Amino acid sequence: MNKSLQKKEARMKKHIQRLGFFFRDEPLGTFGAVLFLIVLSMAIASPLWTEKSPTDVSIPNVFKPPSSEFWFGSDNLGRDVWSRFVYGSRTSLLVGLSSILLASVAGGILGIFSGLIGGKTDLIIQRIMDALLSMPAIVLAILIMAVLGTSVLNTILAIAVAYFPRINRLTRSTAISLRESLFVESAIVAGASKIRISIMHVAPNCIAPWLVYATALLGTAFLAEATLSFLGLGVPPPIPSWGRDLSENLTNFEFAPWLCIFPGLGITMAVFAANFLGDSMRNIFDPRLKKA
Amino acid sequence: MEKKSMLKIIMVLGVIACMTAVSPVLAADPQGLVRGGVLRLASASDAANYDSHMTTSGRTHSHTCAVFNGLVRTDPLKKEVSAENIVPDLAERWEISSDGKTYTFYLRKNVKFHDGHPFTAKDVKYSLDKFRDPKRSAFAANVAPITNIGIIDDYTLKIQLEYAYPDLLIFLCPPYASIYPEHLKDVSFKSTDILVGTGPFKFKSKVPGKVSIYERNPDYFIKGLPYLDRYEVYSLKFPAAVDAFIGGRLDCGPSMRAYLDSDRALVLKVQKHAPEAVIGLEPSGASRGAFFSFVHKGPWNDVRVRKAMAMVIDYRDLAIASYGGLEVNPVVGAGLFPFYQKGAWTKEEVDKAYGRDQSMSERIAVAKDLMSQAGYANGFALEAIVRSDEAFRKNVMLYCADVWKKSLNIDLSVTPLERSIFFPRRDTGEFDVVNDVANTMTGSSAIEFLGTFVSGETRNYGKWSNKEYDDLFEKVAREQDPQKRAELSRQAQAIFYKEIPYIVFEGAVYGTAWRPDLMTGPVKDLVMQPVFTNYVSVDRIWFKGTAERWTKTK
Repeated sequence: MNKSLQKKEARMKKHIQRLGFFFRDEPLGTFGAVLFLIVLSMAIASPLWTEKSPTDVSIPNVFKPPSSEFWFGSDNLGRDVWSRFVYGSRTSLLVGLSSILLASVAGGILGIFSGLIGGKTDLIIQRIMDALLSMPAIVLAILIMAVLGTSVLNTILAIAVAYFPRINRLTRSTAISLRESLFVESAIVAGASKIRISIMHVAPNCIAPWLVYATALLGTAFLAEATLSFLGLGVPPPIPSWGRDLSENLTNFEFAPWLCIFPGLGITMAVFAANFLGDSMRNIFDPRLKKA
Repeated sequence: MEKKSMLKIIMVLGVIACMTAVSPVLAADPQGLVRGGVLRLASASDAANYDSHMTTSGRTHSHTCAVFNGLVRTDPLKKEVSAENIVPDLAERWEISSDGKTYTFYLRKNVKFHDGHPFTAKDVKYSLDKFRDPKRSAFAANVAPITNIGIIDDYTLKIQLEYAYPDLLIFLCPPYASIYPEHLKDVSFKSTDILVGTGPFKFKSKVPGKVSIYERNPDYFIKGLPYLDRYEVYSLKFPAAVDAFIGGRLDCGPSMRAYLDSDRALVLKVQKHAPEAVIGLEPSGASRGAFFSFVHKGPWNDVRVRKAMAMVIDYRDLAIASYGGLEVNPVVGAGLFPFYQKGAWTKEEVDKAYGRDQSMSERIAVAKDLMSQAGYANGFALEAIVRSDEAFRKNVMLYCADVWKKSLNIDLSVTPLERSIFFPRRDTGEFDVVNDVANTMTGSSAIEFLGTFVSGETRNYGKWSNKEYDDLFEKVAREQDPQKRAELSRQAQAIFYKEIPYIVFEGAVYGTAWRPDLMTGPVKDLVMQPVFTNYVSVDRIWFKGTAERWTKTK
């Protein structure tokens, strides 16, 4: 009993030590992590951050500048900008994380499959990916949104489809290099099936680059959501969205700048957090960047 | 003096002489009107087509009004659009038979289209036959009493009516009832090749997505007009157009009729940066509101539900939401007719119909009771569609969503749609609620106000149908006596306000801004007429000043 407790303690110490190294070696990553935690907590526990509803219209309070009553001011319908800022993180995070998760899982699995199988299957899959990659991701997302219409789910799907071929390419190339490695050849000789090889040997070795790339893409997914909403193609109103709030208040910028500053700040915060974290992940996982 | 120096001086003098010769010469005529100059205005985008019979869009009319004429026109120098203010255009004069069923038009002679073809009665017959064909015109219902258009000779035309119809002349005015050339009947209305009219300006060139240029028609049949040398329509969206106007690069706001009215920020911006500009905010005959669909089945098909939804709205708050926080709106709580219109229900009557004569708490209590009676005490969900590029419509629906949720537990989702998706859905009734305008051509006829909700009418977006209402409309159209006509109009309005197929949110106020030296004819300022008819005064516009950049802003 004591031994297991000691083991647990040792493990905990190790984790804390690693965390300490992370804080020391990756100050920007730490900053990104803190920002990300703030955005995450705003998204998960929005009602704890603000009591007001982000959709509550109050005409007597239109265009109120920041004050003790309205921390971030109010908009053209008298809605509290602070609560729209807090709840806007929910949209950003939900869309950003879900779309990258979807793109990572689907793109990753197809990439490993395509890389390991090779031959005509790989050829066909990769030509489809070429077709998808021939268009800039945001243009592809706009196209999909224009066809599907505006909703949270459609926004997630549009961004996921736009980023899916990029992740597919990455995992495919990793899978191809792993296919030729000794341990995979040993598994083939031992009679393991392709599915077993994929799951037990290739997939775990793809996780590091996969995770780094997905984190790096997270920032662009936040931006894509904001861009789609900015163009009126993202989540529908009255769901608070930083991108939509920014776009709708551009004409008010001169008279009520707080309506653009705070949603812009939200987007910046989320993108910085994701990018800093992504960079740190790369520094940690990429052996070529490891410090001597 | 040396030979070289002399040569230099001669060259400089030559250059100055050439520059003077090519610079626009703005000459004052005996009345003090200045001729010449370029009028530059903006439209939110290129015209989808140049068929003025099919659209109420300023994107089309800003082009067609410069190129085409009507048979008659509203007096461009008078503000009020009425039967008394109709003046000749391509028709020199007209006679109305004693029973009011036959109109004989005598056309101007020696009028030519821009391509040199002579203008004759054939062109009028071709154009008006198109204008009264529901498949080729959105305004066919307004001229439904026409039974026949007969050509007497090249310059005389007879229009036969089923019954006497005093509003006919108003509906034959531009910008809608343009006279197109018969010899170009096979040319697409989407092509600039169709821009061959008899009007004051000739089409010169178009850079898609940027600008269309029209130049003065020297053979225009009104001698001495137009005053301007050129007329240019730029494709610019609102904020960019406002910036261009403030920068002095446009002479008239985002368009002659645009959305300064619905965006407080734009008004404030113009006031701040171009204080010398004239801003006109004018109530029009049109109203904005929510059409309920009777194609889509749902709780809103029950009149008690519609009444409850209309009752809980605070119309002043709604107007502020619509006008982007602008607290001054002259037409809060409008009706189907403008209140000043003869035969209109008074403000008090409309207030009573919508329950606005009670306090808000009383209204909510009555509305809740109505919802319970209809079996929707727990509310229901519905969707409103709005045009994605018009924020004020979305803001109004967001305000309604908030009010209906809080008062009646109705969940309203607001879906902004691109115009290409929005219009087909709106026109076929494929929505639960749509925020749009009960539009009018002239803003002055009972036929138009009531006509929007007649069964089968294109503008009756919700496809509401009521036989009693239709019968009364028919009687209004046929009635000659103004007093009796007003009374019948009032009866039709009683059905409208009882059934509430459309909640009237507000009377539309159209607004624009123009440079202070923009004039119309001998009148002091640019005349703003209701609805879209002010485009027709383009042949009379002139500038007192001549500077290309007119604002002080640099």
